[in-house]
Amino acid sequence: MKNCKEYCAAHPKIESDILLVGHPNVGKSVLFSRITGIKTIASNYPGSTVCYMEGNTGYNNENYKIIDAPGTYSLEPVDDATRVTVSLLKNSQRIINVVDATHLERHLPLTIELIEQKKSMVIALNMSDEARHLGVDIDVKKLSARLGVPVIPTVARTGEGVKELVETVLAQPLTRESFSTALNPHPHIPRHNEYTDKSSIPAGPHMHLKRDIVWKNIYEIVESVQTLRHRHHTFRDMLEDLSVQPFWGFIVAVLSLLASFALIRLTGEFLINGSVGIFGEPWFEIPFGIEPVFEKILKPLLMKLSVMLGSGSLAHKILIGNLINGDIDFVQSFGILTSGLFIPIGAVLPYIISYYFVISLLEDTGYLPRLAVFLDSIMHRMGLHGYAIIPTLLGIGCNVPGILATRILETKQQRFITSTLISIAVPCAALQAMIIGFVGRAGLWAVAFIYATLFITWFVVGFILKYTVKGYKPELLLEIPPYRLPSFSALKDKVLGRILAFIKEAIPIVVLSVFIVNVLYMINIFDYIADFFAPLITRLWGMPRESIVPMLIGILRKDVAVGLFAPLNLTVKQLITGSVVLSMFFPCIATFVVLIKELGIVSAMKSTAIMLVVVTVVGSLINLIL
Amino acid sequence: MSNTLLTELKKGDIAEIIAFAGGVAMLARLKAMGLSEGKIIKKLSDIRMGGPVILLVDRARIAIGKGMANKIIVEKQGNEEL
Repeated sequence: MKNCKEYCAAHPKIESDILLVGHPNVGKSVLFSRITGIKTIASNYPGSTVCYMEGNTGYNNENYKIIDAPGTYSLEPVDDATRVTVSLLKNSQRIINVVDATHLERHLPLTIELIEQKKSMVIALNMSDEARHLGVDIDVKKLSARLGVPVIPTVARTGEGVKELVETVLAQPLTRESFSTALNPHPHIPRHNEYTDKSSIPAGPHMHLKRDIVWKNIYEIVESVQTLRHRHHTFRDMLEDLSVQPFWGFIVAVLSLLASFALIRLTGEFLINGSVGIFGEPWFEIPFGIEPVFEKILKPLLMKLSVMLGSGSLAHKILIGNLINGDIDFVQSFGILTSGLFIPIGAVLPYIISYYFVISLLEDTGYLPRLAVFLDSIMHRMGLHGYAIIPTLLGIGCNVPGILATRILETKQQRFITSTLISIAVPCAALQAMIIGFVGRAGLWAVAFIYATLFITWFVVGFILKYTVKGYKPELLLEIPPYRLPSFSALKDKVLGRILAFIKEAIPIVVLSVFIVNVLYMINIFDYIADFFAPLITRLWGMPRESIVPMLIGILRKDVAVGLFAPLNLTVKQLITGSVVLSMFFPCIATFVVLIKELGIVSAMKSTAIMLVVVTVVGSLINLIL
Repeated sequence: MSNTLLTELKKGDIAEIIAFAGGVAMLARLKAMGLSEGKIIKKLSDIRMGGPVILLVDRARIAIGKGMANKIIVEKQGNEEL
């Protein structure tokens, strides 16, 4: 995979040779990766590029810098993503305007705004295969003549037309003196109308006269270049309509979520044990899984090393950790080579793989926006709208991309509420894997209790924030993309990319955390800290005073922290309190940094203050109730 | 036919957008999405309990929050069963 950089500055002043601009969800990111060879994360919902991506392409021995801008419907900045695009546009030499061939009339308003910028420009008529399939024929030559800029049909998914697109955009002169007269106001243009033949100009307020004229021109252009062949209602159309109907949509939503959880759990268990089955006898088995590899292959090797080092030595303490009843316990021993390897690879990685597999599947099919539609009324109770569920679901993988994805929301207030809720009540996949694997041993009800507590906290805190966070909270306005069959290779690249990112980022920090814990234990510093926090931890939460260690380590890695509960011999009640507190108490350092960067220092501090209050109250409540 | 609100249309109703009763910010968002006066829309569904209204406009499906849908004035032109 080539090195790719993603930037998230609010007002980038970066210069580019070619800028990709277009509506959300038209395939800009796929086109970008076709041009640059960089693997990007593209999904089937508007706004999957929340920041912008930078890459290079070589042509005629010259190197050109290409930027993939966040999707935007117009150049009038209504949200942060659009502001970024407008900023990027100022410093770009050439524009590739990516439009969706299946809905030309929806994309031309932006195209016209871009043409008005008088920059060197080419239109990529993307998804032209899908347009042909849907019975939409576009006269490319005529369209190009009407707009006065070259139009190249492309299929980003297969790479069709991409080479021609790059050649054309680079062959264009850098400035255009004037553009086609096709866009000049034209008083007697019949209005395009799908259902009736009515052609009078509508009566009504004309607040934006210039835009109205542009609209009429667009209809006239579209009518002259596009022919729609009649098409029967297909099975896919039926399914698409069904999933936004109140009753069936609800059934589909419930089934999709249940199926997703089941698939995550089954895939995760399969990777860990090498076998699959819900009750009793496994249905399917392979001779190895991640856990048997650790137990049968690594353990004997490490036991030999343990004997060589001698159980009292410093090296033994750091590499192997403590022997539990004369044997290595991969959760409790806490050496770099035992728990330091097992926690990220043996316990967490399988769930990271299965989670990202399922969420990528949901992203690519186009189901997430439909879920957003369904949850809109619930999210309204929290001062949000349905689209906020997308960052929240991404936060289940890792809070960092979740908080970055709040950029798809329109206002600061919504971003503050969503980010705060993610950092408090959404446990990341690494933490969840440890909770399921470790607390699950005490009984599934304990795991269910933890999830229920977090969910209730999420909702109640959201409900309170709705009334305390002042400001304009816009409503849901969302284009629902068509369902698409996920492409296997795109899915594979995406899952692989996310897994590699986890391995690269998590394993070093886990090993470092394990090392730090051992050093701190040796110099006995925890005693002083434990004394300081004792009233909160023992009186209010009913936890042993030593549990301050996992709480503090949780700031580095939450999964390691759960592992640290193991030697404390906690009761089930304490395990539940501990897991809930750990989920809420201080987001890990990576999340905290992103929170400050995205919200600003003042809001991040407010968010932290809310977190401290919530964690104290919820921890005490569990202690009282159970 | 008389003017009505987008929220009051029934499933399958076809209507023309007449006017918007909202502020400048709302207007800008709706126009960017391709919803402007004179457009013909078809109501696809209505999620109950304060949920959004779903429309077909220019062959694209758009979900609009209830509060916003309540500020869009339309003129019903017919009904086409789904």
